[in-house]
Amino acid sequence: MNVDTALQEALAAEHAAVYAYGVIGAMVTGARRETARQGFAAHRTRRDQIRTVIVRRGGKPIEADPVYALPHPVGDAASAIRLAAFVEERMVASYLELVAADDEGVRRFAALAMQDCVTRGYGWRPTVTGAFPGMPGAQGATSAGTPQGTAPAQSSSAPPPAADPSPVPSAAP
Amino acid sequence: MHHRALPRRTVLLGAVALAAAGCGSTPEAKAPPAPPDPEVTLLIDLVAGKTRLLDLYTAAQRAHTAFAERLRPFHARHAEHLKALTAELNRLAPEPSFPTPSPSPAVTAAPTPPVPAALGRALAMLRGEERKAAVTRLRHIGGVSPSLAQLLASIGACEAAHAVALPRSR
Repeated sequence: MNVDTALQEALAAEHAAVYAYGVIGAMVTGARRETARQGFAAHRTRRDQIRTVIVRRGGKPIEADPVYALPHPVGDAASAIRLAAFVEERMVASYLELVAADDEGVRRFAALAMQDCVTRGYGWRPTVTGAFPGMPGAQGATSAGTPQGTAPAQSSSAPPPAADPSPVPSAAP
Repeated sequence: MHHRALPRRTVLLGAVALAAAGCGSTPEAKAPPAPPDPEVTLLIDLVAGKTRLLDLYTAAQRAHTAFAERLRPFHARHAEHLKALTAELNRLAPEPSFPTPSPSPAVTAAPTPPVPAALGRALAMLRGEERKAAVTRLRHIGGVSPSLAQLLASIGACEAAHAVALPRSR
């Protein structure tokens, strides 16, 4: 994929992640609230970094949408935690795309972001999902990194939306 | 990068064939062999490093048998990494023998450290090795093909997850 296109897509994903963390932060309390605050800050930082890179490359960074559709209803701490784990997982996949970009600096940035997201995601859902995070279809190959039952399994949580599993821009104006 | 590897090897094999046929006195045949494909060289290093990490887990499982089962999924994921890296190496360089040691061994050089007798310290050592491996991936993804960069980035992310997922003690 073209570097500029890949950067815009990563930026779009970070816009959605920042939005999602705003929702998550409102639903959790205590230590979770602090974790959410850190996640929010981390994604906002990456969003700004990508924006800067795009501008420096002569591009026009895409704007955030006012509202994003969430993959499942979020009305309590448990669903918010599920959303956070989901967001991190999606970001790992998103940054894996960016790793294919033909730019050494962009690749490193994306690979490091993958490691951050995977680590943060583990904080929300303590399960190692497969040997190849971010790779399509690689999830859950050997997911027994933790004792069974400590985290909601993907299958038992809310079913993902049929169309697009990522927090996508809503059609609303 | 991938397409360059094969022709270069073909040239090398051609030179070998010439020498075998008794035509080794031509200047071309005496020319030094083509330098190894850097991606092949890197993969040889990565396979060696991953093998070492697997050995380390095996040694830790032997030293701490009561904990071996908890380490099994970590070992299994590293084994998957090794399989993927080996497949990539075999794809780029189908011949079994590589006489070309890396000029700057990255992960290979470090000998397998002994596993501490104390469980907590053994786990800390594994955590440190995972972290080191994850950081090393970032150095390697620059000059390789997009698909290898993605494989290494994904492996690095798994290692980063391991570093936080490894239990601290029993």
